Amino acid sequence: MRRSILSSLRAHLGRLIAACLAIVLGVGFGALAMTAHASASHGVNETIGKANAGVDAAVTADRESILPKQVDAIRKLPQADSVVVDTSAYMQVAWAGKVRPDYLGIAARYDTSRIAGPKAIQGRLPDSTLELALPAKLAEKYQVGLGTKLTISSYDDKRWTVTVVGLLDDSTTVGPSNAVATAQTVKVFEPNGYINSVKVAAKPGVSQDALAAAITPVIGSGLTVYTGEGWIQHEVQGFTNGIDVIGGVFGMFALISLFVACLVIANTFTIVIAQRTREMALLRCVGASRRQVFSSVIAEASIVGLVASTIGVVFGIALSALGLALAREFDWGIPPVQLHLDLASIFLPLLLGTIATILAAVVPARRATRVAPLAALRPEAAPVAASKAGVVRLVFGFLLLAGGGSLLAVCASTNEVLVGVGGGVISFLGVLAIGSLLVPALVRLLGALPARSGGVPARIAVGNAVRNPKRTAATTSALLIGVTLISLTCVGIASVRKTFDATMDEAYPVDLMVKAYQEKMPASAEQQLRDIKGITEVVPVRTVEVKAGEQQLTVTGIDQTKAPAVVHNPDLVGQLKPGVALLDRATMTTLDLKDGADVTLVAGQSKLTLKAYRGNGLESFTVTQTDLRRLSPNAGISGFWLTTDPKADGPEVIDAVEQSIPSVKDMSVEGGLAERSAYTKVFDVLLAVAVGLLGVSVLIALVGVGNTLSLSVLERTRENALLRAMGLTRRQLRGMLAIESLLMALVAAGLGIALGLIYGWTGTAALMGAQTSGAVEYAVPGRLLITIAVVAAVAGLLASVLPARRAAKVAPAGALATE
Amino acid sequence: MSIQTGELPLGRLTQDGLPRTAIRAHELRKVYGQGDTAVAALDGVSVDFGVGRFTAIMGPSGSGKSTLMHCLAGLDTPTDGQVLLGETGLTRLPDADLTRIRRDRIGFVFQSFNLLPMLTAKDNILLPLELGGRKPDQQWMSTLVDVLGLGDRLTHRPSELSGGQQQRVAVARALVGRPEVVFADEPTGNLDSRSGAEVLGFLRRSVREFGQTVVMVTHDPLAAAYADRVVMLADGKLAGELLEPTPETVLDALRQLGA
Repeated sequence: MRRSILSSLRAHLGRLIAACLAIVLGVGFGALAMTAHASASHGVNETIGKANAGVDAAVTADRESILPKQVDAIRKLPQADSVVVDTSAYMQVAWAGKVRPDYLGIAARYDTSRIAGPKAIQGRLPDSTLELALPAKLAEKYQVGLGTKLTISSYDDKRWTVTVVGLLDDSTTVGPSNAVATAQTVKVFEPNGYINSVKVAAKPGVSQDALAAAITPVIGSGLTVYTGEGWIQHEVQGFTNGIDVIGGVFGMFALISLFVACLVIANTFTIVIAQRTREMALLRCVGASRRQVFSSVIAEASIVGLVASTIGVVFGIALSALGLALAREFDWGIPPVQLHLDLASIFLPLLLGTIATILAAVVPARRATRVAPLAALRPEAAPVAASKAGVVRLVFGFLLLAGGGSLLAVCASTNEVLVGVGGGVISFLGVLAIGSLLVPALVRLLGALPARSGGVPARIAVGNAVRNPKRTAATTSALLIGVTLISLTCVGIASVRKTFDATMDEAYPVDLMVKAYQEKMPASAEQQLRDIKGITEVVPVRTVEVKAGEQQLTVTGIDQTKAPAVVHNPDLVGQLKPGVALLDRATMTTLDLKDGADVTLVAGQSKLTLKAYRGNGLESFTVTQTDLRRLSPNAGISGFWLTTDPKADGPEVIDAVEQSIPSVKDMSVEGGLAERSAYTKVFDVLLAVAVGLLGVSVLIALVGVGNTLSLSVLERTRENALLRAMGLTRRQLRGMLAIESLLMALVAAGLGIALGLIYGWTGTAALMGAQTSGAVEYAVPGRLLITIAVVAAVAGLLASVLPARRAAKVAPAGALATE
Repeated sequence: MSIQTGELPLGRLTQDGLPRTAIRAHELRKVYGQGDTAVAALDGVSVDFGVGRFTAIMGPSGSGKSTLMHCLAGLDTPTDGQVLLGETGLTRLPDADLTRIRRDRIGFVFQSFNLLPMLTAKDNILLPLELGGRKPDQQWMSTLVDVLGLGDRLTHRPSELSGGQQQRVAVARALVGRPEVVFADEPTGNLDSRSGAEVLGFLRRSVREFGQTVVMVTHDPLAAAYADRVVMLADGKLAGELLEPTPETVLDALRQLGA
């Protein structure tokens, strides 16, 4: 039997290559995810371990600063050798070329004889007052070199000039890191600076546990004591939680692509076994038992699964090594990490891939055992299986669809997210189960047009596509899963985003508000702002100081006709008219006003009574310019409200606005743009990551489409030869296969997009219903969905290229050859 | 009747003055394999097929009769020699031109697997015309359907037709485009004798009544007797021919070949 398995594998290797490719992709993706995760975790461990080398115990404060006397108590312990204090000052620093100062954390330098600390990669660490060492990346950003003098100011406007004496190694840190100055300097900058943590190195011979045990009684309550190892673990945890979540998401996507690969494999084995009916029957004729036939197929699957999974693992690890190397080479904003291999990330994908392949082959293998020995004797065992969809399966599918669908609908209205996901999965399984009915029907529907206008080849293509409903359904299923998930993600993220936008417009109706406090805006200010790329509207506002009873107030006035251009909340715009003031919550409370109450303002000789209403997100006291002029006819322009292009890069626009109007020293920039661009970025990244990851499963599915086509082409050799003899040109034959492939791809894409819309909307309803005060908004990301359809169509066409080439090679004389 | 060898008799002239031969092979050679393993399936065959005549090609297995037909029909390219369909030389044409010629100027009836399973009988009949974007001649089509007795079978798929009906559909398909030559390759090989006789009868009628040119490959003397002329092949060479054959004369000739 073994010889027969091996020789049949050799003989049919070509037909199994696509299945192998599917396994390689699925397993490779899994190995990539696991290796990247292992490397990242390991890298974090290493980095944090290095940063905390020498720490035998650490003390942190939960809320407040650690008191100096507590530090002294620790210092007095006989077990403590070196005690270092983590304290820092948060200062403003004026960079050359920047109009307004920026914030910078400055940490105090400490004794690094025992405990690891910041290292200078250029120059030295500061050792006298008014010296500073800057993180290398920051220094590079602002083009600061050794010896540069910087002006540092505190929140209460004290100023110092410091000299940069060194650049710090920050190659392994993410995000902004602190500068370093001597402890005395930090004390000067920030006399009441918090002590965030204390790190202690033990005397030789004192264990970490003993040291921690000695510290605990002398510091009193309110502080947490860690052993050195415990501290590192605690720090690592903070990072790896995030990494684990990402790893989990990756793992989920890897499982999805493995599942899709399973469908492709199962389909391939089904077809290959159908084509080998006579071979199986011959084996049975010469005395092979059913069990032997079954185990020969399973053995074949095991070998294929093992070999392909091994290739997949190697491929995945190579890819992650490449990715990490590239990330180290180019600064991608992620910490540089070395490749780290553990047993799990090698053997788990290998095992899963092999098992998945074997499982996928079970059903086809059982089918193989049902081949009657007599089939070998029939002259032409047509592999075109009489495939009527099983009634049981259809009924089951419809039940799943109805049950899952109603569960989903209920959960969407009651905001039960997890149960809703369950309902979605169940109904989707229902769709897959009725696929052998649904998909051919859709193919016929979609194929009606080309069949009518495209002539015989198109009509034959449509006929071929529905000839074997189960096979067509299985092939499209694989693609359907990927497309559904991608569309779902696109629709869901677009809808969540739209819902967010609506809530954002309520909370922050103005994108950016530029405001000068003491100084006047120069005449050129408006034009300066308009010149900034990404700013679409600039509306000036004026302020006047008034008294309302005993309270001193700043009233801001905006031209009523121009307000709609910069205020994104139509309700507020509608409310704002002469005689009305819009107040924020704090001002309402201070003035003790109820909605609609009268408020009287006094500015010098002028006096004005307005009706006060709540208006979120504008200035504290906003009125129309008409009313403002009544209070102070000559009020100057004190600021601008801006609208930005939604497509512009938010942080860049904010940066540009902050750097504009250099003549005004004291200027603030506020508004919803910062928040909006932050979550926009999060959504964009989420979308890109999800689509990228799901793309792998689509790729696998397309391999499946190509595979089904080429196996079908093998079956139809005689038909195609006959057509060629009848006068079908090679081009027409290739076109015929392209149409068949295109039909399957488009049906999968169309159905997937429709399902994606339904799932995306119900998912958003379930997820956001409880989160948002307003209504849940449903978005149709048209451009994205069309892109998905186009990509699926193009990919479908590509998938037909190789099978079509093979089909076109068939010599027309082949039709005459009698077997 | 006697077996003639050497010089071929002239084809008969048609009333409307078309060339006397519908298709002509000149010094055809077809070699499979190379060097020591080379086998000549055709070894210098020159033969003409007259317009409006029913010619049978006969010979034992391996005599090269199928190869000859494939080369004549543009399904296979000879190693050497020429094939002329009317005025057109087929041997040097690229695949696309050959395909067009098969589609527009040649009809086929094969032994088995003549029809595409997913098309109805009618679609199968019209397949070559539609592939070429030609409109069928409705009157001719209905004549064929009547003569072949397919009237109530047009909407059926091949799997719903008997073997004889399938073969009659194939004959209708071969004839519907009024091709210059119809090639039939063992058209009765898979049929019972009654259905076989029907199909052969139709082929002969198409020659007698409609002036069709038919070239048929067969190894069955009964089938060959329907033809006007039988060309004998042996070992890739012409081995003689019979005019106005009967089953007995064909059998005799075959026996002599074997001797």
